[in-house]
This record gives sequence, structure tokens and C-alpha cells, in this order.
Amino acid sequence: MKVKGRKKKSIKSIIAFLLFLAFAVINVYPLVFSIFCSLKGNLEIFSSFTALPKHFLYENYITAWKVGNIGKYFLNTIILAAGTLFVSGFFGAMAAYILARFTFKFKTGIYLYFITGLMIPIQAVLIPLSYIFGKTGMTNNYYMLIMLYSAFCFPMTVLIMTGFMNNIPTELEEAMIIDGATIRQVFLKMILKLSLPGMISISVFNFIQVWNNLLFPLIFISDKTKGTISMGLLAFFGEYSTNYSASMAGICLTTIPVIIIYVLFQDKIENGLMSGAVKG
Amino acid sequence: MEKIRKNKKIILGFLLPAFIIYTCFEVLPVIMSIYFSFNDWSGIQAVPLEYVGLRNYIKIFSSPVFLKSLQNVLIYVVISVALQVPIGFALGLIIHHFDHGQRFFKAAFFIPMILSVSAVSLLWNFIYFPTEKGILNSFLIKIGLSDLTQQWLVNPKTSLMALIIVSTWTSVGYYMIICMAGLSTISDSIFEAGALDGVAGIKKVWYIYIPLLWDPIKMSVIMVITGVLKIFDTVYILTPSGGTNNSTIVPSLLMYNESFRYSHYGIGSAIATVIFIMSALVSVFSLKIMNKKESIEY
Repeated sequence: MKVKGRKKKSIKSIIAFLLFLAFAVINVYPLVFSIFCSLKGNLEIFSSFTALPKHFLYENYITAWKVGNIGKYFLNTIILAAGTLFVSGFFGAMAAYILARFTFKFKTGIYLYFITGLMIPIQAVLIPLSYIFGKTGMTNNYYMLIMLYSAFCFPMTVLIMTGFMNNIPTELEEAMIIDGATIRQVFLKMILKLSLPGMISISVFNFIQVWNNLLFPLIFISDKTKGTISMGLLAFFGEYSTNYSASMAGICLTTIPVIIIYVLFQDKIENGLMSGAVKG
Repeated sequence: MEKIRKNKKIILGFLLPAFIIYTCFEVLPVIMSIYFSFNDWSGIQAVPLEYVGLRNYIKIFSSPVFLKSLQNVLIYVVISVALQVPIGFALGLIIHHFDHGQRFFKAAFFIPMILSVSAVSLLWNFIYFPTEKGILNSFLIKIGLSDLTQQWLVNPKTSLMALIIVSTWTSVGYYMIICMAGLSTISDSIFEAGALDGVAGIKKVWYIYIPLLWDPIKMSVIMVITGVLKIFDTVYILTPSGGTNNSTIVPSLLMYNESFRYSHYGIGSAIATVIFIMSALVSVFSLKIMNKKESIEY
């Protein structure tokens, strides 16, 4: 029955497939187009936005890299993200372990206290923090920024990791304790290892949050050399607003690495972002 | 073991780092922000806060710009829900049925989601380029619809919709993935039973897929709403001042401009508090909906 149905439908389904393929290509067209434009001269862009580049002008990339400081911004963002992933991942996992396995008063209350953070938009903290950071001279301070990013990563990290650790069998811990291990050793050597899949998912999720965040750097970083990629791209675009091909090269320099990483780790990234979908 | 599980030293030691960072950088600032909203502050460190009671709230709720921003964000929410969820789930359903190229198709629709919002917005800036050389305009001219060419982001009639399209382009991939994850949990026997009963086409979508995917659909709707209520980046980059006649102003952008451009920190805090209350209400409401288990058991 199934086979017969397939044969009948085959031509129809091929047409549908091709139509859908065309739709998918249109969807990625803006990205292809940005690569074309980044390789053209300014005049060539304006003669037609859509044509293929005649000669490949790699100079645009050099301009974007050097003048736009894209490399520096990239590095800054990676440093911030790495710090945030470490602080939120490690401390978040510690808290999750306690919330999953230990018994004490107010346990549910503390768990809910963390989860409540999911409904706090970053807009709600900007003004008081800029007031305090300004007063104490903590603007442009990466340690403070990492704490700030981490604070906003904790609710999701605690939610996901507590759920994950609840599923690790307790017998393993008990066996290690009987063998004379301390709770710190149990956590570092076993719990963290067994929670690795969950840690990877939540790290991907948190990384995207840091990578995409525009408001925090916009308000808490005034020193240009400390800017992040999203901020740097905007600044470069503002200064070079007439040099479209260099702007396009700047855009490509930030998008192409992300696309390559996505293609390499497609499943992990999709699963990681899905962990955001358990909220609600 | 039981003793260890109740050891207060261990509990505190493990719990405190996250607790302190989270409290200092997220919870206390929110409380301070609410306090700020009842005060006036010029942004100069030496000048102290001045208590003004409800004046900031009275000001914003009698300000046409703020009311316009609320209206815009509501339109943004409604259209985004109507576009992103159905398109995302349709993509997911279609791709799920392909035997080949699933990874390619998933990538084609998902990639915009992971690119930085600045890059995406700047890219669309070129698509909406106001002259006839702009991509969208030159395309319209090519297919003979030159009457339709627009200054997409400048014209108050098209600017909000132009922004919604950008958000939709970036987000549909996410709902596609949620849909596919939902589909993978449904056993094939249900579809085979449906096929025997002769359910096909639109009926199949209506009577089989939608009820089975009801939970992911509800969750997606909630995520679109909470996401759009605090939308800032796309709007800020494409229309920094909120568009012609405030056609694209949204509460977050207004809050940003009031506080960090004009140093009206009290007003800014009042707007921030309103955004917070809206997000919190939607979250609490949605938690209630999600906890009601109405999904049908098969």
C-alpha cells in the first residue's frame, strides 16, 4: 500500500520538492548576496546590487579587518563568552547539584527564585546598573560584565542542569562516598562528567545569548578597544556608511565563522538552542 | 550519605556563588529599577535622586509616544505570532516528510537564527535600501512592479512591517526545529492509523498534526510573545530614532533613548518597569496554560 502510494505521488512530490528547494535558496539569498557584495567595488555594487562580482576584491576584507578592527572585536567577544560560559556553567552546575540532590529548608523556594529570573528582561536592570557602574568606575570592566552576563545565564542553566542531574542514578555517588571520596571529588569527577551532554547544550544556548547581546556592551562598554562584535560592526558601519563593500566584508567576516561552526556541529547547536524551548 | 545530603556547609558552599552573582546582578537591580521609577535623576553622579512619587508613570501614560510604542509592540506581537509559528511549523512538517536533504533544508532556514542580530539587521538594511538600486526595489522594478518601490524603512506605512519581516526571517528556523522535535516524539502508528481512515491533506494537518503538536505550538506562541515584548536590537539598528512619526517606536527603544540619549532616567526606569511587568504577566499566565494538561492521550 505504501509503495503504491509513493509511485503515484512521485512526480507531484518531485515538483513540490523543487519548489521548496527554490524557497530555501531564496531564504539564504541575503547571505549569498552579502558575500557577492563584499567582493565588489563600491561603484560596482551600485550599478547592480544583485549581479555577480566581476573581479574578486579581497581588499574589502583587509579594510574591514584592519580599519574595522573586526579581529579585535571577535577576540573580545570570545573572551567575554568564554568567561561567561565558565562562571555560569561551573557555578550553575554546583547550584543545580545541590538543588537536585540535597535536602534542606527552602529548597523549592530557592529553585523557584532562580527560575523567576527567566521572566526578567535585560532592560529592567540597565539603568540601576549603569548608575552603580558609573559611580564605582566599573564601566569597561570585563570581570563585572562576565558576572552580569552570567547572572542572566543562571536561571536557564539551573533549570536545565537540575533536570539533568535528577536523572543521574544516586548509587554512583554513594559508591564513591563509601570509597572515601569527598563530595567535592564526587562533583568534579563524576557529576560534571556525566552531565556533559547537558552542559554542552546549555553552553551553546548561553553562548548565543552573549554573542547576540547588543544592549549590555552598548551601555557598559565605552572604550572602543573593548567593544564586542555586535557593537563593533555597528560602529564600523556608522563610520564607513558610504563604503558599502567594506561594510559587507565586515558582515561576512562575522557571519562566515558562525556558519562554518554551525555546519560542523549542526545537531549539537540545534539541541542546545532547543533547551531554551523547555521554558514557559 | 544521608548526613552529607543535609550538611549545611556543603549546601551553602555549592549554592552561594551562583546565588550571590544572580542576586547582585539581576534581582537587586530589578528592585532598584522599580525604586528609580519613583524618582527623578539627571544622570549626573553628583546630583542625588529626587523622589517624585507616581509622576513618571503619569507622564509616560499620558505621553502619545509611549502609547504609540505600546500599540506598535502589540501589532508586532500579533503579526509575529501569526507569521512565525505557522510558517515555522509548516517548514518543519514539510522537511520532516523529505527522505533526502533534511540537514540541508534545516540549515537553510536555521542559519539566520544563529547569526548576530547586528549582522542580520545591517544586511537587511541593504535589502531595504531606499533608492531604486536597493535589492527589494530593483527586484520590483525588474518584475515590472516599479509602482510598489518604497523607502521601506522611512515610509511610516511600511516600516513596522519591514521590521517584522526581518524578525520573522531570523526566527522561523527556531520554530521549525521545535516542530521537528515534537514530530520525532510521535509514533508512526498514529499516522498509519490515520491513513487507513483516509485522512489526508489539510484534514490531516487539522485533525492529526495540530492536536498532536499542541504543546509545542503553545510553547512557541509564548516564546514569540515574550521575545517580541522586549524587542530592541533589530528596531534600534534599522530605525534608531523609532522611525518617521514614531512608526516603529517600541518600549525598549523608547526606554533606551529616554535614559541613555536624553538622560531622563526616571522616565526610563518607569518604562523598564512596565516592560518587566508585561513580561512577568505573560510568563505567569503562560505557566498556568502550560501546566493545564489538555493534550489528548493516544
